Amino acid sequence: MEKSFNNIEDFLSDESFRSWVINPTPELERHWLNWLSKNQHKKAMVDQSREMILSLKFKEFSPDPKSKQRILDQIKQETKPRARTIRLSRAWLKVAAMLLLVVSTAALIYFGAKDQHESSLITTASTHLIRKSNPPGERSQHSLPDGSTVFLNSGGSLEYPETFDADSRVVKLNGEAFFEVVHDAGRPFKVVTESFEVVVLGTRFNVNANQKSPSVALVDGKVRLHSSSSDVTLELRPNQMAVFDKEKRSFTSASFDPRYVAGWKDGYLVFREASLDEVVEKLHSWYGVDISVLNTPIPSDWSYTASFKQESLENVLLNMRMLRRFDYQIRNDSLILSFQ
Amino acid sequence: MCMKKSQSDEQERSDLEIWNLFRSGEESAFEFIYQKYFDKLYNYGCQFTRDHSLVEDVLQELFIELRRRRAHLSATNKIQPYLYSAFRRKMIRYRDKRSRFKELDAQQSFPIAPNIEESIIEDEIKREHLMRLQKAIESLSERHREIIFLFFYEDLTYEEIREIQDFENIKSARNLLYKALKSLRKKIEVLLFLIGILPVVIQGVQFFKKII
Repeated sequence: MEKSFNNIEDFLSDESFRSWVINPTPELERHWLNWLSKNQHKKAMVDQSREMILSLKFKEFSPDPKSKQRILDQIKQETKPRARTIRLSRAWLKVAAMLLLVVSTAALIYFGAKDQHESSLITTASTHLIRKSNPPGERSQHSLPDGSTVFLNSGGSLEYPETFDADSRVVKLNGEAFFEVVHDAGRPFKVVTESFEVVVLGTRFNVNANQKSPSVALVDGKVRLHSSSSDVTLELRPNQMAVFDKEKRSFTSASFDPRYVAGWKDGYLVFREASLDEVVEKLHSWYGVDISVLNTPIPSDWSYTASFKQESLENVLLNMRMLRRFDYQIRNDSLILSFQ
Repeated sequence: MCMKKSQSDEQERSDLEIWNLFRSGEESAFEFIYQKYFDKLYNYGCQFTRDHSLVEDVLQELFIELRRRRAHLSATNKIQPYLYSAFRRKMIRYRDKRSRFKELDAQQSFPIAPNIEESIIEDEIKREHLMRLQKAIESLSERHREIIFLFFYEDLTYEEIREIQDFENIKSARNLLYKALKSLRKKIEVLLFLIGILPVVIQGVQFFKKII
């Protein structure tokens, strides 16, 4: 049964008629010319409908080819194959039962022990070295060849051999990580950073390399710290934290707040009387955004204390804004803070 | 008709293959999809908002999600409506949340091209016609403008539009377009009368020529 065309809308809303007008193929052309020859009296209506369709011109927009390429690069960067991002949901109590070790290696350039560390790692690595690293904003979890687990924080990198030696387990760390080390008294576990080494006999620990002052914090167990640049050794007891002084090249120890030091592993973003610089630094590494601050200086007594669990950047900023008025703009991968 | 049909069958077959390759992790299939649909999606997104950096953000996020979830994506033999549908949902959500122009965006979405040739259209009636058409379209609802865009600009089928605009069935898509066109016609009735008599005039002239 042939479709009847009684008014302009009947033509306009017909898929085939529409395609004939805007995107004709020889087949459509044949069909509609044939139809017209049989329906001469509808020619005026067909002409009106054609005219109408051809007059419909929407504004067109084309992307800048450079942006198109940049976005493609960002998409690939964001979706690089890597160990799964940790879904942080563990109870904090569980962490407290572990050996917690926070090692910060951010200021490594200042310590001249680089060559030594690299060679110590290479001698260990009789097999292939595996390297894992996270860009800002990404956290990941990895299994080591001995079954130990490492949570690597954003901006960190970790190197370890494909298989450990018979008498030692050595990994090299830049940045922050939390280790859950399988007990093996015969093979001490060693974390080499550029400022010091941490020796563990077998337990779990967390390493963080994004702070200015390198530090180790221990929740449970026993670790020995050694700085090869100054030949200083320190043993840590549970609930103790050692901070490495870059100038004196020595450790000072103190107690610490587990959530503040290693809460990142469980998805906590924690600020404790943080200065603006500290806030900017943390947001940058947590969310992977570049941050610029406008209209500084802001009052030196400005500080920020808060704790978030898996919150969006926007919500953190909204919370911060309750404390002090400022404007922010999030665009692409950058954040602009402007204080009034 | 038949040819159009077989062409689209071929298109569907290759869409299905490309999509399956992409889902299995084939990088070249992803590149192909990105290169083929990015410009079209960008154009579609810019119809919703004048905040074009927002459109870029949404595109980036869309493709990141597709890549991350590729193993879990459902099969499709029509990539374009699949992408349009996912993109549209995200685009509208982001616009209402983040656009710098959100008040104006919904009113001024799917803009009609400013008529560059306006000055060289000497035909007074035609010029008038285009202006009225533009005014009439601008006074339609956003959803009406959008379906006109999808049908007449993108040349999509009702089935594809159903998927994109999230209709329950094809009939609803058909009805919406019909309603949009009806209301468009009402708004330009006078104009349609004007261009409607044109062919009559021409036929009349030809008739007289014959007599003479």
